Amino acid sequence: MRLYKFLLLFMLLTFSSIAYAESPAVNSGNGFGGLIVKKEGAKINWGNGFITATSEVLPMQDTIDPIRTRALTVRQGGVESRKLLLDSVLSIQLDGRRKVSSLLKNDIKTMNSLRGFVQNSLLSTALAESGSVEVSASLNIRNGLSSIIIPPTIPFLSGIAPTISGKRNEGAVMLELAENGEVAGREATVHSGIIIDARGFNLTPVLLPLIYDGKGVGVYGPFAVSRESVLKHGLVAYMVDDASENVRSRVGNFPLVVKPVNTQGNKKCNLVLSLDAGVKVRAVLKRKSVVDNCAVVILVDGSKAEIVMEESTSEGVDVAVDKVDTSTVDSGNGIQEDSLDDKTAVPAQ
Amino acid sequence: MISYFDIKKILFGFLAVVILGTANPANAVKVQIFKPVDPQKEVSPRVFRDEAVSQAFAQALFSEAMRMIPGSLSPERSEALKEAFGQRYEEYIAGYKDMDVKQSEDGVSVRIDVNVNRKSLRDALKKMGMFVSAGQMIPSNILVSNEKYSLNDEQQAEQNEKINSLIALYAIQNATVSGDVEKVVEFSVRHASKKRWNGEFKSTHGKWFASGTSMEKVWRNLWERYYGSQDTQALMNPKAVLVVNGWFNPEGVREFARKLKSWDSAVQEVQLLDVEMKPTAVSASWSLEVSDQWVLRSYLNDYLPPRGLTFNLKGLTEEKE
Repeated sequence: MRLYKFLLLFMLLTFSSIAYAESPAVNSGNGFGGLIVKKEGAKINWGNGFITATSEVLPMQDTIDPIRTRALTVRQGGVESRKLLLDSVLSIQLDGRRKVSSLLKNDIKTMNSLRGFVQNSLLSTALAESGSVEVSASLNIRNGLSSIIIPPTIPFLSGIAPTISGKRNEGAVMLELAENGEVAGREATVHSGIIIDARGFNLTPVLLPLIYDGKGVGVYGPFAVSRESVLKHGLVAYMVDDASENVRSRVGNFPLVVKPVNTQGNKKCNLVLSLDAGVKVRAVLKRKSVVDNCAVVILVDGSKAEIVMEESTSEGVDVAVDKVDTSTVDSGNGIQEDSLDDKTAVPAQ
Repeated sequence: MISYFDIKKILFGFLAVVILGTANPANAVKVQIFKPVDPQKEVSPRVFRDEAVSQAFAQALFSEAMRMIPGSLSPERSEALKEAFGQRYEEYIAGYKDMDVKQSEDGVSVRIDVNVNRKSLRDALKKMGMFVSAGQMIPSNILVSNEKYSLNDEQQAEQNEKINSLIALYAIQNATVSGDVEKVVEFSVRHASKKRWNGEFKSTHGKWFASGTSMEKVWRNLWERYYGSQDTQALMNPKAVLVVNGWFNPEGVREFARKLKSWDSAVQEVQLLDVEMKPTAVSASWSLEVSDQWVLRSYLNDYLPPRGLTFNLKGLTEEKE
């Protein structure tokens, strides 16, 4: 009897995991606890790394050939949504100082790869009640796109902890302290991952954030993990719901939960922990499974973050300045899609 | 009778293989092997350790090769391929990391993460005839002559074993089994002088001669030339034209071509024929050699429709062999 129960459980597990693996687009929804940032028709889920851009196009009325008109409408919608997708990829903040666009502006080869990647993004078409055609393009930052937008020049797994002050020697001292501490061994054996509860800090999500300790020495960041792991899992996941299943799947059942004491940088994208929390986090990061799977989740205030982003796009100074900055820099360097080109490519009936 | 715990072990083993297999990126192959100590053989620990490491590299190459080769290989051919990789593996390996070798009284366990040079591996497999439509054997008349250099019983047994392994590796079949006389390959190797073997190869696609210091070298040389020749390839794998339609912009074509070339268990010799820009969409066509059209179709069906793309594969018969 036990054998049958076991077999049944095994089959259920296998099939459910296969079904889950084959439907990546399902994860892009809102209900999975990831931080969703909406900006100019595009939506970035910082929990699972999915970016979706949607555009609505009204087909021309009273045409001779409705099939051709529909095809042209889908084309226009596809071009627009993929342009939005490319723009939103380019406007992603890589770290506290750089955006993806600033890294690619002089690299034509990588830029072409990115364009090619975006042109092969997932595409879905739906007919809205108003009669317009809604075309959505989506792709995942992880597993593919990240290898294009995260430059290979960034020193991953260097082990050299950066400092806020810029001095190098402090890091070594701190690491030694952590290694000798009794807490270290205990934390490393108990915890399966790290949750940094940064709710209330108005944090800006970035691809490669840095976590410092109370003395300003780096605890977690690209220097602590391999490039391969970051490309596959993302350095961190930004989640809004700590009860979400996705949080558990990333950090395991016994995560260490710490609260930061402050944010760092103009963009408020890096975090500063207390000295005690820093020692504990370092200890947990000694576990190979934690580092290999980048088992770090940053909890942020979801609804607030979303409102802040939307408000600031309309009236806020920070992001408005950002927007101007991107458009001027990018159009000047010819990185972004020329929208005029695409629109004029659709011939009139 | 299989007990409950045996089934449990098998299922967990299967699960572990699935997890390991899916977690790896395309080029990196993680392997873990255990080489038990043979009480009959006296070998120094260092030599034994090196043998175990070579075996781990060969296993990594073999796993990657099995992923690339269309269909499945016979047990004899699989064994011969593994043996071939055990002798020559350096040229197919781009690098490795996380090598962990543990030596115990019972044997040596090796865990390693190998980065395989897929291009050179693919070329080597092609020259071994691994991309030839599954199960196709080459009917041949084989003559191996030691001339005046006669062998004792032990040496003869060793040579016979080697010949059988090479026959299995290159999918050679005795001509008497097959009825088609025209397609029969005439292949002979002679021990011409003390350190020299000469070989001759006659087939409908060409005639080749080779000379080398061992029977095995001459054998490899001639059969690799046969499988490597364009005519043979064209005969073995059907050519097809793939037309993909639905991009809004020619930039997507190049990215898809890169993807198409990575499906080496299904297609080889991918070449872009043309890109056509129509008012509604951009389409592109490629010529390719299809080694497994069903695998190719499944890849295309998985990749293209979710991206709003459609495809048409011309020049292939729909019937499954």
